[in-house]
Parts: sequence; C-alpha cells; structure tokens
Amino acid sequence: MTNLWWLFGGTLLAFVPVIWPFFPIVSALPERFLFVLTLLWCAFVLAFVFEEFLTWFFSVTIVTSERIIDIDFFGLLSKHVTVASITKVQDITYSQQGVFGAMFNFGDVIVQTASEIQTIECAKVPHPNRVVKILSELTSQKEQGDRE
Amino acid sequence: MNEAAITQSVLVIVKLFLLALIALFIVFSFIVIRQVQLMTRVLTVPISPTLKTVAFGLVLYSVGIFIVAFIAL
Repeated sequence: MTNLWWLFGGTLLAFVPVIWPFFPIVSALPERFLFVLTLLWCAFVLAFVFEEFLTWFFSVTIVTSERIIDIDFFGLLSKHVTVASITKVQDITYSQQGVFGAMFNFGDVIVQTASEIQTIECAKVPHPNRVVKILSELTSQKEQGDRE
Repeated sequence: MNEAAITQSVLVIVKLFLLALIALFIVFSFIVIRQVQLMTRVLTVPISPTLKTVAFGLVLYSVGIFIVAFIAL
C-alpha cells in the first residue's frame, strides 16, 4: 500500500510513449529517433521502478532480543544505520494517520533511546501496535533478565 | 542554407543529445549495480542474486540502446 505511488507512477510513465504522437516536437522526429527515444524512456522507467523497489526493500528495522538495528537507504549511495541496545530503549510510541493508515493498519513507530541517537523512527510499519507490543515485551524481559 | 540542411543539422544535434543521455544512463546503471552490491552486503537476502541479475540486465540494456542509437540514428 505504501508503495502505490511509485508503482502507479511507473505504470503511468510506461504508457507515455503511446501519447508521443500528440506532441508536435516529438512526432516531427523520424521513426528511428522515436524508436530510440522509446527504448530510452523504457530504460528510465525501469530504472526508476527498480530504484524505488531497492530503497523500499532494503530499508529495514531489525529487532532482536539484544538490540534494534535500523537501516535506511536514501537515494543511490546514501545509507544510515542506527544500532541501539534493547536495554537503552526508554519509550516506544506509534501513530497511525489518515484513511489509508487506518484501513490498511500501518503507521510510524518511534523508539526513544537513552543513547546518543535518541530516536529511531520506523516509517509506515505494518501492524505498528504489534511492533510496540513486541518491543515492550523484549525490553521487559531484558530488564528482568538483567535484574536476575 | 536550405531547409534540408537545417533539418539534418537539427537531427545531428538530437542524435548527439540522445547519445549523451544514453551514456549518462549507462553510468547510472553502473551506480545501480554498486548500490545493489552495497545493499546486499548490508542485508543478505535470498533474492540478492535476482537483484544483481536485474541490475546487470539494466547495464546490458543501456549498452544495447547505445549501440542501437549509434547505428540507427
């Protein structure tokens, strides 16, 4: 659901060559130019869709019984990795906004930590209430384990 | 300069522009390969080989377009 914009956008963009004859500047070009332009346009659309898929697929938050690892990829070569110990987690909140968030049960989970990186934000997470519950249980278990 | 010569000059400029654009896209597709490598290094997933194949396919496709454009235009 959260990827609809680029899926829909990519599908629409793929059909742009169909309406090229309606643009005088483009339709004035010889057929071989239009053919190459169409191939290039398809390549751009494929690259755009692939790029968006990669960013979505590899931007993850990994929760273990020891730590939380948040990996965010931005653009082509930028990445941001945050690692916080479960014992440093102080507050966990989530928010669901909008019609789509409520209908399809996704939202943002924000983890407040006592470390230098104060917040870990996980955007558009499915079933955020479950994530908060699991994190709360993990932090409680860790605290109890440390006390023993 | 007659109309045919002007048209021919415009088409040459368009051809060079397209070739430059395709060359930039080839560079971009190599960056995508590098990006997939970095991403799969950070997070190893079962579909990593498929993603690498798609990225490599993108490079081949862009090189193919360059060759077609060079010959056909």
